[in-house]
Amino acid sequence: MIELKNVERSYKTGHTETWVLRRVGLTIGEGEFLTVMGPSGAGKSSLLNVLALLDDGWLGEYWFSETAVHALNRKQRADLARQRIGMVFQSYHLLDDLTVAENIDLPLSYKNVPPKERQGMVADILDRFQIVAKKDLYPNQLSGGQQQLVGIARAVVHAPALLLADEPTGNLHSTQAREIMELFCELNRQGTTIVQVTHSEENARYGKRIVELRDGWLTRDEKLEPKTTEVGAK
Amino acid sequence: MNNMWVDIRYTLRQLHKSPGFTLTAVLTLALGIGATTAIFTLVQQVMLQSLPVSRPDQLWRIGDQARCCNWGGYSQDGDDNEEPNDWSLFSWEAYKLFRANTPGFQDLAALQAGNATLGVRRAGSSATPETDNGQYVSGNFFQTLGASAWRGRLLIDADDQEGAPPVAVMSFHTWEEKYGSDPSVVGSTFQINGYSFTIIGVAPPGFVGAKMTSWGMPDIWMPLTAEPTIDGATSRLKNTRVDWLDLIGRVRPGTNPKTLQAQLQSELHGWLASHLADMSPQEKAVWQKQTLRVSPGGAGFSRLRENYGEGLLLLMVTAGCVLLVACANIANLLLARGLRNRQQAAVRVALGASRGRLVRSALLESVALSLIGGAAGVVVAWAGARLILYLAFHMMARGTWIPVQASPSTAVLLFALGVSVLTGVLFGIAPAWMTSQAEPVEALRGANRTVGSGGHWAQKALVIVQVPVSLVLLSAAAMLGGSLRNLEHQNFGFSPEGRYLVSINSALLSNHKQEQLAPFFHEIEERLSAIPGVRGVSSATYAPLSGDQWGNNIRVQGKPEPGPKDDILTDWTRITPGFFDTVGARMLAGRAISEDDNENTRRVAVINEAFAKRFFGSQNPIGQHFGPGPIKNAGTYEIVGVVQNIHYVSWGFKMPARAMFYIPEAQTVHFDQPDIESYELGSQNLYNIVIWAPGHPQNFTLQVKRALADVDPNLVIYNVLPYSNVIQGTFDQQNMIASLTWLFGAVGLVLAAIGLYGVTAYGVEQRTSEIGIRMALGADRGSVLSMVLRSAFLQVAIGLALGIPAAMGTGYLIANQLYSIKPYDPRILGLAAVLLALAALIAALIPAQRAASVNPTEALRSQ
Repeated sequence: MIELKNVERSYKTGHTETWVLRRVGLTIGEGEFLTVMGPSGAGKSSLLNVLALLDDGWLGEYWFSETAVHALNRKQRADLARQRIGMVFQSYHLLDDLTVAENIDLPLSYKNVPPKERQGMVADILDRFQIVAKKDLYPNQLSGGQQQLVGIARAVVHAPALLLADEPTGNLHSTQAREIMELFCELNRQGTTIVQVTHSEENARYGKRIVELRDGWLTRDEKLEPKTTEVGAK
Repeated sequence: MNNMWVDIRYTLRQLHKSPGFTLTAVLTLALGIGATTAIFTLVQQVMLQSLPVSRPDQLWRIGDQARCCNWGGYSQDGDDNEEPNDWSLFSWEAYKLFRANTPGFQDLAALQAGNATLGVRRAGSSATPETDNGQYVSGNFFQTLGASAWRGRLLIDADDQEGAPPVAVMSFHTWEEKYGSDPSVVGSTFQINGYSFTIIGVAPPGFVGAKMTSWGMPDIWMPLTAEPTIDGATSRLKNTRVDWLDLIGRVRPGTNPKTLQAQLQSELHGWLASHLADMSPQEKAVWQKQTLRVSPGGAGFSRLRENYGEGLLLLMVTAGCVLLVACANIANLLLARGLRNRQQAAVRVALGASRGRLVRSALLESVALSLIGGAAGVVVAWAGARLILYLAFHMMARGTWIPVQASPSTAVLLFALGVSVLTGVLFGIAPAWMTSQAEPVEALRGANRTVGSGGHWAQKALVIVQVPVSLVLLSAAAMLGGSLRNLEHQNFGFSPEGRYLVSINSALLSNHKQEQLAPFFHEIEERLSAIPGVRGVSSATYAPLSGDQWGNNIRVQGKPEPGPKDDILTDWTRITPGFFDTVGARMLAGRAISEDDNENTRRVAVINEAFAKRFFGSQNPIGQHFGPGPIKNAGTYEIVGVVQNIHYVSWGFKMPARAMFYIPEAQTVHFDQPDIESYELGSQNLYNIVIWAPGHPQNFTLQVKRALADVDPNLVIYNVLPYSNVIQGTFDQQNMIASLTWLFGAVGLVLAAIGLYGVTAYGVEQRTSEIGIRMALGADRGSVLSMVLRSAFLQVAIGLALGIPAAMGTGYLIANQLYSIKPYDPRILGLAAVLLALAALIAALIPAQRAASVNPTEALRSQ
């Protein structure tokens, strides 16, 4: 589904250039659940930004299915991201002024999905995540786990082919983290390709494959044995 | 479209959830939009509005100057700034000629250029007559303007025939205000100046005729041919030397104005040629140069436009400046908000929002704010327009009706809407652009780590813009205020202190005969003199600064006939004995008018210094003779005294003193020339009484009214005013402009100070950790304080550097509104700059102190 060839990324600070990704080559198949690990400053988030098409300043080749991302302009990349990619953030990043339902509706509105269809899709996801009762609450009325649940619901409401998650459980306690990870597993089982960045070995084991970055270099690429889980969501 | 509604709903919710922000923004905008709309309310009515008649675009005037009220002779030279020999007023005979011979006009109507003061009461009533403003109009006046009667019928040509039954039409305003919309008014007989007239109809609501003035709007329209009945011996109707009619016509479709003008010019020359025998030598020399122009008449004869246009435009610009400062403030608020919410914008981009969608959302917020502000601004505008009308016309105090309303019209509401949307876009565009630059990568970083310096510089730039605009407003206000003070405290050539001006209606209206006028005023003065505390009483056709002015061309005995370019026009008035003592004017030579100057003694006059200088130079004028009109009248008056120049007219304060002469009430000269004879008799109607009562006696107004009622209970008294109030009223317009500019300047100053406060406070908030580090490294509170103040004052200094030349430029632009004030007065500029700097100091000190009290440990921990 995704193929990176010699992807490099650097930042200029004054006269010095700092490399955060060095000749990264990575293939991610459809339906994979990939975990990106590594110490702070290794380039994990930079890699995720490249995958999410949020960063334009990289070099190399990036193929998304049959599309040569490196040949697209900014607008075309934004269109591709809008159609095919969902994002889950460590700090949830729900919009404070919008209710749960409105937050979930946001990516659909940006995709210009017709209102009636949107209503149905939002209702479905609320039901699927069992948060119908909370649809009119504002983010500050939810716990951290609930907020991340909404964040994931928002990321998958438009059924993206690729779900990217940046430290999705970084701000949650262990029980909530477990529930979120099990939800990811369920989504993966239903066909969504997932790439998560995490420091947690335990969370990494929910995935099927681990890659590790150090100083921008890809240093490890390991397949894992499948872990049996039960889906749980509040 | 659906997304738009969603965005609107979110916008309104956001505003609702930030009541402090919303309220501040709405109030600021209400002030800015309200001020602009208030001025536009008046601009629209005074400058832009057409007459409320059908097809005003078809109306054309003969003439292009706004003149009043009677012009004599066969040449028309306007003021210095007008084209010479350009006709705008006409005699009845000339009107009839134009009407009969100009096929380009479908209808050509005439109306009196001035107004006729009338004493009106129902026939049979013994009540004191109501004082109404009358206007003589041609029989086809209403038909030409396309007006239909509200009640009864309007005048027709048959009513405007000599010998026709006397009829009149009442204005809707008068019918409603004075007669409570009584239907029986129509068809009733009224006594108008003692003559019976039948009111045949009421004009439609909103119809004010063809003239827009701040005084004397017509209450009653009468046919031109009724004028001799009312004016008797002073009638102008058949006097071909008196031009007293404005002409307005409805042109036939397809008429070329240039062709029309050429034909009328030819007709004017033909008419003048037929009066060669009646012309003075000066008129004969220039009659062929006389011309006229046609001009669009859709707006009628607007003296309001002439008198207030320039001031209103100045105020419009001033209010626009306030709006600009308000916009900069709101933009600053939105920028600060946008920068705080930058991460949310980044999340939106990460979730797929396009830049266009972000800009649209941000603009929606600013336009929503400005629309709410605009709605509140309409209320501010209504109150503001009322205030302006009060300041400009002392409307509420004087009860004078003017055809200008404070309530907003559809055009005004549309203007407010337009300004609101434009304002919203104007102050929203920069924050919207900043918001749209949100980088989604920031969202992935997980926190609001950096904000970037771009936004803060934009905020500072907005403050820098506010400073010069405020400085310009303040210095303009100070210049206009200083000018007003100079105007009010100038040397008028008489002493207003302790003097009162009594304005009365014509004594002829209360049935006094012409020959009874002098004894009548003598009796009045005796009664008023008996009031304790009164040291002098004297009457005049019109008193200094009363607003009136009579002029005459004169000839000096023993001097040759003046040439066409010689200035022989002088002002004159008639007075009773003791006048100069009463007004506090000093005699420079000879004697004043005394009781001895009566019908049995030689005809005398007192001239002013300017008269003496112009006509006699270094010669002694005492004992010399002069007279009005042709050279044969040159021996009419003997000069017995020279009085200091009194600034008599209520305009032209920058102009040199006007030549003027004073003649006694008790002397009448009979002239062969009907126009001069008419003025001679008309001037014996004294409209002003001056009382010198330096002790300001208690209940003085009441005592004066009682004394006058004792002499004649039917005498209509308009008002009794201390002269200080008369002077104040003379400068109503300047007062309005200066007051409003001060108000706008103050609002601009406060807004600019709030803007500086906001930016400084935001800067301090952003730099809290930096300040913590500095303090941890040893910076004391004083150095932190000065660091913040330095940053704030850098903006103020740049603003002042831009503002001082701008303020000087503004001074030159408004120089013609200034009196004895230099447009580049360094004291005024310094004062404005100090005021601004003080406001800035207060605004910056609060956040600076907050910065100085930062706890370094907490600041570092928060990072």
